[in-house]
This record gives sequence, structure tokens and C-alpha cells, in this order.
Amino acid sequence: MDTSVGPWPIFRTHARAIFVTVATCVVVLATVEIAFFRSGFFASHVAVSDPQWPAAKLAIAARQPDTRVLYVGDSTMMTSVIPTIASIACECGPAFNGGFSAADPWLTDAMTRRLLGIMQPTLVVISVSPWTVDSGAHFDDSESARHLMSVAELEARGISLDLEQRIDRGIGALWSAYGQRQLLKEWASALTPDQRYDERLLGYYVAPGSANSYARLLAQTERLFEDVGDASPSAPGAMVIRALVDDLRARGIAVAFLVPPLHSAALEHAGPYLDRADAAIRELAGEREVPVIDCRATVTAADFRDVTHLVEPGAERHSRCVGERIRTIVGD
Amino acid sequence: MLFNSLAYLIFLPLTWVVFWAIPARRRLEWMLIASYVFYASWSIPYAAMIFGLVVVNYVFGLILGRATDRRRAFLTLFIALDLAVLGIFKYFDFFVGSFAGAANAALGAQLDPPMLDWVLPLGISFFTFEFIHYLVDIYRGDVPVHSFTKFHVFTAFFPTQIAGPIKRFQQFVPSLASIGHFDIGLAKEGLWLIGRGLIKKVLLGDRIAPWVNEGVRAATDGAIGTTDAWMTMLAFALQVYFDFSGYTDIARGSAALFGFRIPINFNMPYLATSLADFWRRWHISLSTWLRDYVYFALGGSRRTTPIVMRNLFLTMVIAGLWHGAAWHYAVFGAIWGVGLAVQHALQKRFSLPSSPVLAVGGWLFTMLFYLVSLAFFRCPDLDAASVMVRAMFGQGAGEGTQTLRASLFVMGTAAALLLTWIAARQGWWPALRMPTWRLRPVALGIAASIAIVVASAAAPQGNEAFFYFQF
Repeated sequence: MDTSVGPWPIFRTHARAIFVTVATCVVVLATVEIAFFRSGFFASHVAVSDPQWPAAKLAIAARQPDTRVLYVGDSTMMTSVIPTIASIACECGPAFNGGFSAADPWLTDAMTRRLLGIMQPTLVVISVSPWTVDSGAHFDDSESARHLMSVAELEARGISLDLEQRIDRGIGALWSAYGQRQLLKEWASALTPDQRYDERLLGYYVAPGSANSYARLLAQTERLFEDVGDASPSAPGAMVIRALVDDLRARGIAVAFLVPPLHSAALEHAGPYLDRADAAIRELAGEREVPVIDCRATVTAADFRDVTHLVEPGAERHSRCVGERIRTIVGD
Repeated sequence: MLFNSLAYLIFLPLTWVVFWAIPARRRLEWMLIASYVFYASWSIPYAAMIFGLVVVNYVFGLILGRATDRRRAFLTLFIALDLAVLGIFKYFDFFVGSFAGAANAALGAQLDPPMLDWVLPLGISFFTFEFIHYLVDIYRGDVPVHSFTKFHVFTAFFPTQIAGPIKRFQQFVPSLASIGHFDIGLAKEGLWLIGRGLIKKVLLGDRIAPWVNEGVRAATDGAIGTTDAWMTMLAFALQVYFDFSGYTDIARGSAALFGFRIPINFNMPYLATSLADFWRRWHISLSTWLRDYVYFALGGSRRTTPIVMRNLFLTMVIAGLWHGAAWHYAVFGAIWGVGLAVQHALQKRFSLPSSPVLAVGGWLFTMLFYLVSLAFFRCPDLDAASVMVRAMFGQGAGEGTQTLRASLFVMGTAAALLLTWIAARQGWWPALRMPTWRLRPVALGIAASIAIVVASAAAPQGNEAFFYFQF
């Protein structure tokens, strides 16, 4: 057993070898950073297995620069609009579904702005759920927020990063294998047989299995509505959407709202609240003269995987209806 | 400060460099400072409370060591005080709430007692168990630690302060004598353990956790399919092993970098061939603590079979409640208590020869028993646990929400883990050594850069807390 007063004599003895080791390591890491990440090779080749997260969505979107219709919003949007079907129905060009899990108005706003740096759509369809116009909604710090927003944007939303978080971001900006680790993990998952996300779905995602037994629907509904306040077109989230609409129009992009379908269990549980939310959404839309796409009548309870997400047959019918409404809007 | 956080990645090397750079006589003090920085990064007031508990128990130990009469009374008082602190933080709300609930249900009362709602100090259960071990062993004849600094380092040592392993002062304190010497072999072992622990935690445990959460949420909602229920519990068995043994590896590895050897906590637990064998392999520092300070205190196995069965049952109920102040943890312990008691009775009555067939049968039974019991360990309440268990026994509802990917990953990981252990036990697995100085520097540099790339990509997006931190 090699024992001594400390590790330093060992370091001194092997100083030359340590120097060569560290130098080799630095050279290899710099090569990986430049040749693999900074060259754009990674961005153009990365595949994902699960498009529910912002990083994955942005990676897929990077290969869809020709998009003409962009759908944004939360997972209700992601699972209810199949871009290919909607595009055929509206005859309005290629589309992309940029909806992602747990997106609130603030994240939808940030994601839309990121996507506009990749594509130049002529129409953006924003999913406006009842929670968007809820007076109790507020911006939450989250991994998605940190991924989509710059430090300045986060600070503007009242989130200040501590020293560790700033160092973390700094390392991520300097060393892409760390900064883009979520995408690297996605890529690794996509290498598993049959696990690569089919990018021809253009951002649409089929939620697996079903969770529509009565007990689960009841529990989900209670969770969804346990903390709601009141619905108002001047709710904090609605203000964010209003600003997004103004910004999109300033860029010459048309805007439409989509009212996402909800399982009838939600209506039974929170009917009056949803009625008020519906009125608030329409008031918001009317105030900015934004057309509202409402295809909720095309789906039934059997089309739902759970309270908020459609299964594929339901999404197909819903998408067709959405496309037809868009054709009307574009025609107008 | 979590072991899998950037802060720890900075804290550990800094602490290490200073530790070995300063004179040997100052290293214990430095270790104490580092340990309090580590704890205070979570809560300064609670760090002060831990300091107070250390001082008090140091004094308790000296008093017990010097006392010639009324030693049992002193011991009882001191342990009661330690348990009172644990009880106030961890169990007060639970017992008061349970009592009020029972009274309201039975007597139609309208009791609504005020709750403390205090945040549980991190590691308080582990601190308390080390204090009790120290006091009981002094009562049994061991010599107390006279150096306050040494006793302080034993209790507050940062690698083990949050979730163990629960140390024994007879092993730990003498190792402080060799603090002046750097052991390169131990340091290499430490690096290997830290790497292995991070892989277990980040690449395996955290990856499986969302699927477990999905299944538990379904059970909490009141409906889960039979296949999903089994898959969820199998996934949780893997998650909790990778999470806790990963934490233990990092704790042991961190300690080794400073020249300390910390006891193992796991010994291939999912190869256990009986219920008793399982607890000899799982969370070893806790199960041996319970054996030494609860089971033996109750009389151990040198009593009649019914008394031994009672002792086993009580010990396991305490083990269950140690994990958390909730009835589902008590039921988890009770299930194991009944299982171990029945096994003890059967072993007394029937003497079975050892055979491979019986070993496989015992393994299968133990694993099934464990998976079913885990429903009570993981689910947030008894209602959800009963939904999960009923689903496991064919009363499931709803189709699968676990994806094929999740199921394949879970089953593949379980198979790989078992095969790895079997290979290790049979000696088929080549001994892994860190060949650092034998590799040429350029090759070592390339290997290091690959390791950095893999570690960077595998790093968690956020910092997922270790499962056992809640206990």
C-alpha cells in the first residue's frame, strides 16, 4: 500500500505524465466541441425519442424551416392536432406542432419566439386553454423555462438565478455536451430499436395507453381544477397571449386561437368555470379580432386517453376540422 | 447540497485539496468546517441544532462512561431525550393527527389539534441512531470518545450525515488516527465508487423514476392495470436500489478520498433466498442497528418461539416507522414482521436441506414478497397501496400507461443487474481495477475526455434528490 503524508509527492513524481494527460484531454474535448457541436453536425443529425419536451421539439423544428402554419400551446395542442392531416384539409402548406408538455402561456410565448427563429410561418395557431385565462395562473420557474428563456427573460419574469445556476449555465454555454445533455440523452434513447420519433408526424405526439377509467378521470379532473381562480380576459396568462398576438401581427403573421377539447368529465366537474373560461377566451379573441377555432364537437368521450389528451382517431377527426377552419380563415 | 449537484462537484475537490494541503493536526477541524458548510448549505438553523445535539450527546457519553450507579436510568433518560427530538420533528404531527382522526371517527368528536408542520431536519433519523448506538455501547462497556473533535467528526462527517450508512464509532474513530497518511489505493477506490454511484443514481435510478411516478399516480387515482402494477413495483425496486446504493457508493467514495472507510450498505440484495437473508443484504447498516439495539433489547432469539416472533414483528414495525411517519410505512414494516416471524416459526419446525431448487424457490418467493410489500413503501397512503396490491393480484383496472420502452428498459435492467450479481458471486466477473498510472498519458487523456463527455451528457437536468433523504 502506497502511503505518504499527502497526494502531492505523487503528483510531483508524475508531473510530466499529468501534464500530457491534461493537455490531451483538453485537445480532445476542444475537438469534440468544435467538430461535433459548433459545426452544426449535432443539430442536423440529432434524433429524438420523445418530442414532449422543449429541447426535443426545437431539435425537430430545426429541420422544418418551410413551415407555413405553426401550432403552439401545451400538451392538449400536441396531442390533438396532426399537422399533416390539418395541412391537407386547409391546403395551406406545411405545418408543425410546437405544443409541448406543461406549457403555460409564458412558456408558449417563449417557445413561439424560439420557433420563429427557425421558421417563417404565415399563420400561428395558439392553443388557449381555460387555464390561460385563469386569474390565479402565474409564471413558474421550471426546467422548461430555463431551457427556453435567457437569463434576462427569466429575470424579467421575476426569477433570479443563484450562483450555482449561473455557473451551470456558463458551463453549458461553454461546453455543449453539458449544455445539450438533455438532447444527447434523447438521441441515445432514439438509438433503441423502434424508439426513434417519426419526424413525419411533425411534432404531433400520441400519448401511450389509456387512463380513462372513471376513477382516474375523476382524480385527474379534481387535480386540474383544485387550484383554479376565476376566468378573466385580463388574467396574467391572457395578457401574455395578448402581447404575443400583437408581436406576431407586428411581424406580419396571422394568428388564430384554438380551444382545446376536454373530456366530458371535466365539464361535469367544472362546468360553470369552463363556461366562464370559454366566455373569457372569446372576449380576449374578440378584443384583438383573433378568429377562434373550436372543433370540440368533433370528438366524443371515447376519443380521449384521459381528461385532456386525445387518442389518435380523435386527433385525426379534430385535425381535419381544424384544417377546414383554417382554410376558411386563410380564405377570408 | 446534493451529491449529484454541481455544488458538490465544486465542494468535494476544494475540500479535498485543502484537507491534504494543511498540516495533519488541522485536518479534523477542517473536516468539521466542511461538514457544517455542507449541512448549512441546506439550513443554517438546523446545522446549529445538529451542533447542539452533538454537544449534548458528547456530554451524555462522558457521564455514562463515568457513572458507576444508576447507569440504566441515565441511559434511558439520554435515549429518551434523543428520541424526543426525533419524535417532535418526525412523529408529533403523525401521532396527534392519527389520535384525533381515530377519536373523531370513534366518538364523533370534532378534534382539530394544531400541527407543528415543521420541516424535518435532513438526516435527523441517521444522527439519532448513531447517538443511540454510541450511548448504548458505552453503557454496555465501551470507552467513550474523550476527544470532542473526534466525536464531532464521527457524528457530523459530511459524506454520511444525510442518509448514512449508519456508522459505528468503534470502527470510525480509530481510523482518525491515520488521517496523516494519503492512501492512493483507497483514493482510487473512492473515485471508482463515486463514478459507480453517479451512474446508478443518474443514469439508472433517475431514469426509471418517472415511470414509477406514473404508476403510483394511477394507483393514487384509484385505477391501475395488473401488468402496470407489477411493472411499476419492479421499476421501483430498481429505482430505490440504484438511488440508495448509488448514494451509498458516493458517500463511501467521498469518505475514501479523505482516507476513511465506511461500511457497505448493500450486498446483492435481490439475490436473497429468504426474507431474513434479504435484510442481511439490504440497508445493512440499518438492519444491523435494528438487530443490535431493538431486536436484542427485546430479547432477541434466545426466547420461546412466540416471543421471538413478537420481537421480529415489533422490530420490523419500528423499521417501517423509521422510514416515515405514516401508516403505510407501519404496514410495510408489519408485513415484513409477519413474514419474518412466520419464516422463523417454520424454520424451527421444519429443517429443510439446502438445495438449488429450494434456493430458487426461496428467491422467487422473497422477490414476490418484496415487490408486493413495496406497494406500501412507495404509495403515498394506504388507499393507493391497496389499489396497487389489488391490481397486482388481478383486480386491476385500465389499460397500460407504461410504455413498451419503459417496460423493456425495466425488465432489461433487472435482468442485467441479476446477471451481473450472479457473475460476480460466481467469480466470472473480472476484477475491475483503475489502471491510471499504467496507461500511457495520451491514452489516459483520451479515456478521461471520453469519461467527461459521457458524464456531461449523463448529468441530470435538475438535481433529483435521493429517495432516502426524506427519511
